[in-house]
Amino acid sequence: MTGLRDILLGAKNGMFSFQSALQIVSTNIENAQTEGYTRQTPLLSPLPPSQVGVIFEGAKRERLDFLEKRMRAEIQTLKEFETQKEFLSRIEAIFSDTEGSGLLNHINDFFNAYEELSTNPENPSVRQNVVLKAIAMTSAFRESAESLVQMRLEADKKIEDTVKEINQLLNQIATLNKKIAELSAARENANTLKDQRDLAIRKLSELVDINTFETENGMINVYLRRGGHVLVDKDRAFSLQLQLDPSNPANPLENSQNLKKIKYVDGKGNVWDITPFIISGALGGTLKIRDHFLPEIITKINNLARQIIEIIGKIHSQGVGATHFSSVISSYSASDSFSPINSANLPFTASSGTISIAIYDENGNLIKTFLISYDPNVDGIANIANFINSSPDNTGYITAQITPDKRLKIEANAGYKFDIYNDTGGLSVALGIDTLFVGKNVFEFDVAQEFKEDPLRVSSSSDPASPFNNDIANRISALREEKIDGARTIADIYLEIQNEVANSLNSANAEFSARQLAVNTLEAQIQERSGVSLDEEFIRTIQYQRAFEASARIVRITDELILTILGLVGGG
Amino acid sequence: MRVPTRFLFETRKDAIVKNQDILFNFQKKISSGLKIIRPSDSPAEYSVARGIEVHISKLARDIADSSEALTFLQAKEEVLARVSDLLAQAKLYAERGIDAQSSEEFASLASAVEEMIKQAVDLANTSIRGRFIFGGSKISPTSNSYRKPYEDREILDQEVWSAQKGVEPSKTLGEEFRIKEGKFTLEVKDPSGNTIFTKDISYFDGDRIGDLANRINTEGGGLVLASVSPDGKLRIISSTPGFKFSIKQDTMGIFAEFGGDGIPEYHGDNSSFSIEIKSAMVRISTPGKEIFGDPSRSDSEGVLNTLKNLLDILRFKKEGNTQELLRSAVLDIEKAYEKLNSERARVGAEISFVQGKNNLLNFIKTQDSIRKPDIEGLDMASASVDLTLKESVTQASMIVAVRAFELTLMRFL
Repeated sequence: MTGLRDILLGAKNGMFSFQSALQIVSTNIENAQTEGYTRQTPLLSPLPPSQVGVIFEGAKRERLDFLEKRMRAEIQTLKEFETQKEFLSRIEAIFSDTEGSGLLNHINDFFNAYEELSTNPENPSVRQNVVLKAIAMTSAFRESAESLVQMRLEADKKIEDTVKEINQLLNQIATLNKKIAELSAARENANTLKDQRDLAIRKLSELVDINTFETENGMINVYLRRGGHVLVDKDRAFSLQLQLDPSNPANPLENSQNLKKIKYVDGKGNVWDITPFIISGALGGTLKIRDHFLPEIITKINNLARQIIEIIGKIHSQGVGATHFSSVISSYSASDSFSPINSANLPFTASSGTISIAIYDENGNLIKTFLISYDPNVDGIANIANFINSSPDNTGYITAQITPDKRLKIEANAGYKFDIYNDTGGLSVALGIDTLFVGKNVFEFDVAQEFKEDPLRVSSSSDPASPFNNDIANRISALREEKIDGARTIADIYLEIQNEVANSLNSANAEFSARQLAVNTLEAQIQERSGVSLDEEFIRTIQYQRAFEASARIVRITDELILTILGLVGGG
Repeated sequence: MRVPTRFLFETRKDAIVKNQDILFNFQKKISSGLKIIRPSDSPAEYSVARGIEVHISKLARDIADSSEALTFLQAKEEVLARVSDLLAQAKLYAERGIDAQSSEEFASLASAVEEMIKQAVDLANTSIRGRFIFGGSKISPTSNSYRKPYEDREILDQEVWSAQKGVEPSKTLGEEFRIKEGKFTLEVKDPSGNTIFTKDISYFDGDRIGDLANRINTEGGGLVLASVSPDGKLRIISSTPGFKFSIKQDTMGIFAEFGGDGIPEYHGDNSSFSIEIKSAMVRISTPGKEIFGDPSRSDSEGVLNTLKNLLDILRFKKEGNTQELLRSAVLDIEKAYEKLNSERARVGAEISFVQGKNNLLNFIKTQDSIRKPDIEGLDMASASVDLTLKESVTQASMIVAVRAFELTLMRFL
């Protein structure tokens, strides 16, 4: 039978329990805006029949782990596309022509200038304009390519920062694992630490694609999703490391600063290159942009630049300018003067053919023309020099020699000038002589120095006796509408690159939006369960306050009952 | 459904930010007048718009080319019209010559015809921005020149000399130039300028050009070598490098005849200069010989030789019945006039063709210019309505957020 003492004890238990519950509610209210906080509900249980009242058993985290796991998977992809989107928007800006200053506009301006030259070859300022527009075009090409390389370097820096952040999070998770295990062993409330750990894991999933596994003592192990490398093993974190990768220079076409690969050292000290395993999260997205998308676009813009150098060079070297050369030196150095031209490490190859040389007196009057034959699979630049010097028609007009850095130099002897024209096998392009554009790749794409110095040397005519004719200018200006690879014009090729960037950005945007929707839905589900509603907590506050008041009232009533009984005893 | 407070705030905040972003982007489009401001707005349409832009740019250049061609062709038409007037005038002078009696009358007519030749040469030298209309593809030296008769009677200090004018190898000098016996002095100097050889060499009306070359070789002391090209041009070169020769006191002026006596000379070339307009080549500069004849050949038809022939008759340089010769000259002038008019008709047709091209190109450019905004331009009427709608949505989103934030028990407790 329950006595007054039991009633008092029951009321005391109630007051204590409701105080604890109010404390939980208060914690919920205080953390209503705390990121990663999981709502807690007080666990109140009735005491067994031998005792009276209610007991506070602890606080329950209102969290569904399977939702959190799904969220991590979704957020990895979301962040991957978000990162790609950011980079692609900037790449798109490089290839935007809407403002009238893009690459396409420069290409157009160049061809317009050459077309104007075809109608006014006698006008020196028109020839100068061709060179100015050519400089503007090559400069725009170089700047675009350099911006892309710069973006690779920025992506590399972002990778470095992201790896640092990942390492911090891995350490934080390992530390929290340890503390949670200790508190759990002592049967203390570890909910706040679990929230912190969940938040750290969530942030980690934003950066890299991971899997998690909860161990029996409440610790969570973290693994790399692909490759399965352990990143956190209970209370031990395995840091990721960065190492310069000589096979991956920032500029894929030239020697330049090396980018970094991501290394993993396992418990036995084995070193793994895990770069290929990271394909999602912000890190995966950045790696895709840095190592796949950007090099691909750089290669395409480089190919276009090389096509322009070669195709325009082949036509330009057929012609003669309004003024003639006293001296000219090839733009490219051969690896060896005697190695065949096609095996001498030159940027372009040639085929067998002939090249004509026109000799003028110092007043520009044509004196003589002669040609030499060559076979680039047999002849080296030394042979070419020899052919020129030993030609029976070259009776002291010009001298060819090889410079110490293995370039072909042709000089007119006193009182003469010369022109090179009608090259049938592309020797000029292979050596970089008398071609309007030079450069091994897009980063060196430029107007040849001799035309910058004297724009009147720009070719418009194929006839050395009539340098103000326009057949060469007509051919070059017609290139604008020519399908240079059989299917596409220069503008088509450029627009394809532009389209590829735009379509990739659109895909990234679409993927991002879809993932955002999924993440929002999941977040709503998680918040519905785990988020704090102030209104709900206010009601709980009232509920527990009143329960506490009721327990206090029972104490008072019991007290009155005891007094009544004491009065009866005293009265007897 | 439970609606946690933080979630409520976050979702409202996201909604406001998203609507503001949409509004901002839309405002950017309205201010630029374009619905496609970045390639990713619509890659396919952006690409088409850029393709049209390239086409418009090319069309603008083609239109400029056709305008350039028109300038040349219209100038050519004007020059031909004036040359045609000259020929009409020349015919009049020739007819007056038929009736002329006194040598003063002939001299006056000759002087007028010589003036006409100079005018014709001036017209043949018409150039636009440095390019001669009748110079072929050459732009220097001046496409035509005119030297007065006997101006170059002497050839001084040459290592190589070539006649400008060819002579029919089978004709005698008398037949070709209506001359009698004459002689000239050949003088040779060494590199120091000392005269080392002087010799008078005679020539006769029965000589052919080859005979003259032989006389020079035989009597020139081996110091000069004379030859005749297949087109009948005499060429003399010094046989010793550095030695120079002169020809002086040519009594019948035969070397002046070789040098182009009193007739225009053509310095252009035989190729033409054409401008390409949409794959069609329009000849804007034609070789002068095609229009004015070849001044280096006396048998060549054309304006200048016809006028020169008339001048020779009026100056009595040509022997025979002057009236008959003048009648024949009138017929030559009429032939030259017809040839010129046929050229004028051809130029007229070219002008018409280029004008047609120009109009067509302008039309296509206009069509493209209309098409481009159709693709990437913004319909301002719809855009204004859309803007109002987007503004309303943004405002509504904010109002909803404020209301949602107000609905909390805090206000009631």
